[in-house]
Amino acid sequence: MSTTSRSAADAGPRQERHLPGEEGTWVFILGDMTVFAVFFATYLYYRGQQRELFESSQRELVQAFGVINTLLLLTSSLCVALGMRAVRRRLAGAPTLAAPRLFGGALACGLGFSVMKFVEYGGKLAAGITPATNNFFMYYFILTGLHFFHLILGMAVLLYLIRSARRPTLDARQFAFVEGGACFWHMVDLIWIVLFPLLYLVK
Amino acid sequence: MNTRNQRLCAWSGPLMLALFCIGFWGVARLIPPPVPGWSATDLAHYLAEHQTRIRIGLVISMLGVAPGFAFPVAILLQLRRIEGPSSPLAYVQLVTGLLTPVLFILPMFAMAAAAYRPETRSPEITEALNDLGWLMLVGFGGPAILQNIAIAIAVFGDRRTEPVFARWVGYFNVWAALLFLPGLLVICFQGGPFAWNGVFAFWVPLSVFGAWYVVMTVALLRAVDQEERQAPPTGDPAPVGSAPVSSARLA
Amino acid sequence: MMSRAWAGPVRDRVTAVWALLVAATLLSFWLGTDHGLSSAEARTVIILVVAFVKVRFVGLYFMELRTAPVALRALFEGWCLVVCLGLIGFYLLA
Repeated sequence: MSTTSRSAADAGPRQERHLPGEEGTWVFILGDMTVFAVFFATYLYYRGQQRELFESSQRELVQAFGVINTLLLLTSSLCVALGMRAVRRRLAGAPTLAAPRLFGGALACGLGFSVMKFVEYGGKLAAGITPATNNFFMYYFILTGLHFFHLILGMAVLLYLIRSARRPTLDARQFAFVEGGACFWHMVDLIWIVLFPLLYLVK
Repeated sequence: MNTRNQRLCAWSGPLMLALFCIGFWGVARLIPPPVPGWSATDLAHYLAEHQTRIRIGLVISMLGVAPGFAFPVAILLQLRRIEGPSSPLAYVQLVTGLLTPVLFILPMFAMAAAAYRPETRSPEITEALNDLGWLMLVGFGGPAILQNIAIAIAVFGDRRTEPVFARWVGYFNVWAALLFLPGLLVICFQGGPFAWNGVFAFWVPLSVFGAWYVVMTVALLRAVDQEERQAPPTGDPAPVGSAPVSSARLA
Repeated sequence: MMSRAWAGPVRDRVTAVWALLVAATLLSFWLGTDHGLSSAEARTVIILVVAFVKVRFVGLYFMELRTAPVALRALFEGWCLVVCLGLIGFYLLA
């Protein structure tokens, strides 16, 4: 199989259909998204049973943290999307070194998110708020914690992307892994896009 | 190569699942699990009242889980085909996979102890034994997680043109590993979705557990078929009692 | 090989999508901090819808599902629709 994998996104008007990554990638990503969807629904269900508690506890959250984190992840996804284009351009022969730098930018955003998370969790814990405090905070810590775990995995994937982007050639399997890894990072972003309003803004 | 025995080992997985369902669910009716929030007296009363079926169900389950020891062996043999003679991931998978039946049987003994003679002791003791059983059964996710990750890494590292296990099996194992994680939280909660009878700690991992056996059995059987197909043809051994055939003279 | 030269990151479509997503985030933040409409339910429903519109954009433009096989794109869009409606339903009815 050709090492310069064409992207339908760069093709002309007659676009061919291209599966990002491989089939298994989507087994994983759609599966994970579905589980998170069940989590979200469960959260809203239990919220409905203890509305006042959830609303008063929600006021302890600093919404600005959530917004900053959302903007960080959106920017990181932009970096990854641009990075994938740079990878394809490089494989097609263009002498560009943008890809590893862009993936590095995404990683930096991820680190920024992590720092914000530590600050936020630290603040809560310092105020005596733990997952055991009440149901709202149980969901808050577990949902954001699970997402944070995915983010950490995602940063490991980004390291792999940075390394792969430096290679002069990628075989079909490696390229599929890179594309799949990029999609995983977008999934991390996407989950947060729902999680942020769900926890911080829904009243 | 021994494909027949490999297939036997592969089928041991569904067999274990079936016997576990019959014993633990059908007879003992321990699925759905007893509620962690029950008072000790209620629990002791429940166990005493349903003593017979719980015990018989547990006996069936304890025996039924034993075939589960053969399943990781089947996976080992196929992973070895991927990794070659030095196959660390295959053995990591074996070691962690062997713990699953163990971590079913041990908690079942704790539950059996709780249901052994609850009428002769204070309910708190019964409750403690029952706690030990359920926390261990639902909460011991670590080995299974590592087993799945080992399989995934091995599958992703398969460089053959026709891989032993399809790539999506690797992705499925990563997903399954992630879904076993919430189970670990049972020791922190006595109610809600992360308790030992909760959606995310019990029901989701249980479903994934069942699905994983189905997926892996199918994948194993396919891999064994593939191994058979790819093996060099060997001559049939001469039937006993017939005239000796010298292959050297026939060549 | 590509049939269209890349015009740089600023003019790339994904950057425009990013700007849109940022604007949508700020809009949700504004609504979520009790501005705009008076009804909390209306604000929340809009916030949820906006969230899933954002998710759809991430999927279609960042994950490149716009040019993916139709079945996959349908699954993704289906997820967006079902989960969006489901969550709104849970919010309003739970």
